[in-house]
Amino acid sequence: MAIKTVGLTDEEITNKVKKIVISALYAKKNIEDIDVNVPLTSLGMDSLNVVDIFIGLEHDFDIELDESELDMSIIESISSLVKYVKSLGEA
Amino acid sequence: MTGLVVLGTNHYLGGQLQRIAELRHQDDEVIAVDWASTLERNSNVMLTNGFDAKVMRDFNARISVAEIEKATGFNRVSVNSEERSEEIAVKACLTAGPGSIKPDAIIVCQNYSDSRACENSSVGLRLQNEFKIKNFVFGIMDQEAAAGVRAIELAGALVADGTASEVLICGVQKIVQPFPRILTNHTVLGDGAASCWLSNAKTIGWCVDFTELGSIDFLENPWFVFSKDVDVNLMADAISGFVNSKLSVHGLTPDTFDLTLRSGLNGVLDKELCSRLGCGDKASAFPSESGYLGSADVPMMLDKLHKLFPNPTIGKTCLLVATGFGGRIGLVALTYRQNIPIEQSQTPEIPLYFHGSGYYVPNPPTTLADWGKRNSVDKSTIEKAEENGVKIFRDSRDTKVYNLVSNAVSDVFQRSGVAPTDINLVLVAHTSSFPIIPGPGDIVRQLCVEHGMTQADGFSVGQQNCVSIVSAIRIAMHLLRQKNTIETVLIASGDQIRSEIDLFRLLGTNAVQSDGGSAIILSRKLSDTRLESVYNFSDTANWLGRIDAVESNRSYYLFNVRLIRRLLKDAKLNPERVAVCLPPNINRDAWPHILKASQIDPELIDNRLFNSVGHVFGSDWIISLTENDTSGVILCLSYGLCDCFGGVLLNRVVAEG
Repeated sequence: MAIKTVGLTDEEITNKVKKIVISALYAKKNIEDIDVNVPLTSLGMDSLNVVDIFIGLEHDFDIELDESELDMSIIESISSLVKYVKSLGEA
Repeated sequence: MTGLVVLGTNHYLGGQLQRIAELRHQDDEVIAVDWASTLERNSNVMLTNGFDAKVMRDFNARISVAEIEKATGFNRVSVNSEERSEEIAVKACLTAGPGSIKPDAIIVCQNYSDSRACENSSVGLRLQNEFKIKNFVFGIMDQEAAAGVRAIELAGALVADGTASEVLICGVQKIVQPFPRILTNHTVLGDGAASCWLSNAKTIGWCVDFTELGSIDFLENPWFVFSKDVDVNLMADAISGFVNSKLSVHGLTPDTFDLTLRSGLNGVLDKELCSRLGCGDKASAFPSESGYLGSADVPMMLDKLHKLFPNPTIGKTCLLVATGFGGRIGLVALTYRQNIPIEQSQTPEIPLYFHGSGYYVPNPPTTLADWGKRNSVDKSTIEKAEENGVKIFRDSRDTKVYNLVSNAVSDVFQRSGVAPTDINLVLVAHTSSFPIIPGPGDIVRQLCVEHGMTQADGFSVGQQNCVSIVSAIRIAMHLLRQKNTIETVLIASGDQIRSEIDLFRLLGTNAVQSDGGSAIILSRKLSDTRLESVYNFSDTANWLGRIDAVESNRSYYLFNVRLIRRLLKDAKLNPERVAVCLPPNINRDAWPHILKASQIDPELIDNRLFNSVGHVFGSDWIISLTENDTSGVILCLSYGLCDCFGGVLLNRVVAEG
C-alpha cells in the first residue's frame, strides 16, 4: 500500500492533518491558528469526531487502519496524529 | 468428546506414543496435522505469602489444623490477601515469557474472581493490557485444574489453524469470600498463579500428544466435597478407573509413561492414586506447601516437569492427570522432543452454520420510573434516560442465573428442532467474572444432565464481559476446525443484576441492564444460515472497568466502525450486502452514525427490542436474531465494558414459498 506521504515535507503532512481535524470538528479556525500540541479534546473533539478524523486520514493519505494498530494515544493531538501518519510512511 | 489428537506426526513422537499414533492413523478418528507440535517453552509459578499451618485454623474453626493436615496432606497454604488476581497473574506471566517475544494469543483459566460486584475487570483484559494484545484472548472457567487441559487443547487448535504461534496459558486462583478456603477435610484452596507458553517456534520442550477430558459421575454432585467424610479411596478408584479407561482406548496404560504428574488436590488421595496407577516412585508432584491451586495446576505441573527435566531426553513421555474437585478430570499426554524448526501450516477453513437461536427474559417488564423510585434516583436522570428511549427492563428478581440459561437452552431446542443428543460441545459464556454456579458446581454438566445432552461435554468461557459470547463462538470455531469429533456446539449465556447492585442497572442514561439468557447452536451441518465471519477485540486501556463509570469513551464509535469493517473484510463482503444490523440495545442514537461511517444504510438497524427487552448483556443480538426473519447478510454486534467489541456476520438464505 503506497501511503501518500511520499514526497511531502513534514509541514505539508502537518497541514493536511490539520485540515482533516478542522473538517471533522467543524472548527472555524485557520490551520495556522491551531497549536499542534493542544489536546484535541480541548478543541471540542468527541467520540464521533474521532471516526471522522480517522476516515479523513484513510482517505487523504490512502491508508487502511486496522483496529489492532489503533491506540487512543494516537489521537491526543495533531502532533501525535502526524507522528502516527509518518510512522506508517516509514514502515 | 473423545478421540485422539495427534500432533507432530510428521516430525517426532517418542516410544509408545509413536506406535499409538501410527495405529490411530489407520482409522478416521485421528485428527492429524502436519505442523510439528505445541511445546511448553517456559513456565513460571507465582505463589505469594505462604502462611503457616496455624493460620489455617482461622479459615474454618470447625476443623482442627491436625485434622486438616492429616486429611489433605497440606501443611501450609499460599494466601494472598493483598494483591488482586490480575496482578498475581501478570507476575507469573512476565517472568515466564521468553523475553522480547510477546504472545499472539492468551488463554486464561480462572474459576474464582475477586472482582467486586460492580467491577468488570478480568485477568484476561489485564493481560491484554500488559502484552498489548487486542484480540485472541480467551477465558476458561468452571473446571478447576481440568481447565488447563482445555487450555492446552485450545492452544493446540489455535496454533494448528494458523491463528497463533505463541500462546500464553495462565492459570490463576484467588479465594475470597464467599468462597470457602477449606472444603471440610477434602482440600485446602491456595492462592497463586502459574503460566506456561505453548509455541510452535523452534524451541525445545514438551509435545502435547492428546488430551482427554471427562467427568466422574459420583463426583459431579457439587455438595460431595462439603461432605464431612470424603472417602479418598473411593475417589482414587474413580479417578484411576477413568484414567485407565481413557488410556486403554488408545492401547496405553499408565506404565507407558515415564512420568505421571497429578494435580495437587489432596495429598492422601495422591498417594492412593499413585498406588493404583503404579506411578509412586517416578516423581512426587504433590505441592504440600501451596494448597490446591485449581486453575493454575496444569501450568504448575508443566513447571514441575520443566524442573525435573531441564535437559530434554528424546522419547521420555509424561502423563498429566488434572483433577478438579467438581469431578472433572483431564488428561494430557506429553512427550519430549528435540529442537526442530517447524513450518506451520494452516488448516483449511470449514463452513459453519447457525442451526437456531433462542432466549429467555423474565416477564413482565419493569418500568424505569419504578426502578427510579425504588432506588431514589433523581427524576431528571430518569427523564433523560427516557428521552433516550430507555424506559423498561427485565428483572429476574434474584432468580438463579442458572435458570435464565437453562430456559434459553430449552427455547433454542424448541425453536431449532435440534436434538439434544446431537450436541457434542457446550460452551457457557459469562459476562460476569464470577462463576454462575460457585465451585465445585459445574454449569455445563448441570445443563447436559437437565437437557439430555448425553453426548456433550464442555466448559465455560468468560473474561471478555458482554462479548464473551462472541469469544465463545470463536473458540467453538477453532475446535470445530481441529476436532472432527465435534460437529454441533451449543453456546448459552445468562446474566443478571442482583438486587444488591440494582442501582447499577442504569448505564449512564443510554441503556438499562435487563436480566435474561440466550442460546445458539453452531454446527458443521448445513443449514440456511451460514456463519460468514466472527471477530472480537478489546482496547483494554480501560481494563479496570466499573459498571458505574460507563461514559462513552473516545474509541466507542471508531472501534465499532473498525469491527464492522473487519467482519465484512473477513467475509469478503461489501457493506451494501448487509440486509439488517442487530446492534446491542445500548446507545441507540449512536448506531446510525456508526453505520453511516461504515457505509451501511442506517435504515437497516433493527432496534425494535430496545424498549421492550432492554439491554440483556451480551445476548441482545441473539434475542434480536431470534425475532428477526430477514433474509440476507445479518450484521450482529456486541459491546462490553472495558472496551470489548465483538460481532458476527451471518448470511441467511430463506427458500421462497
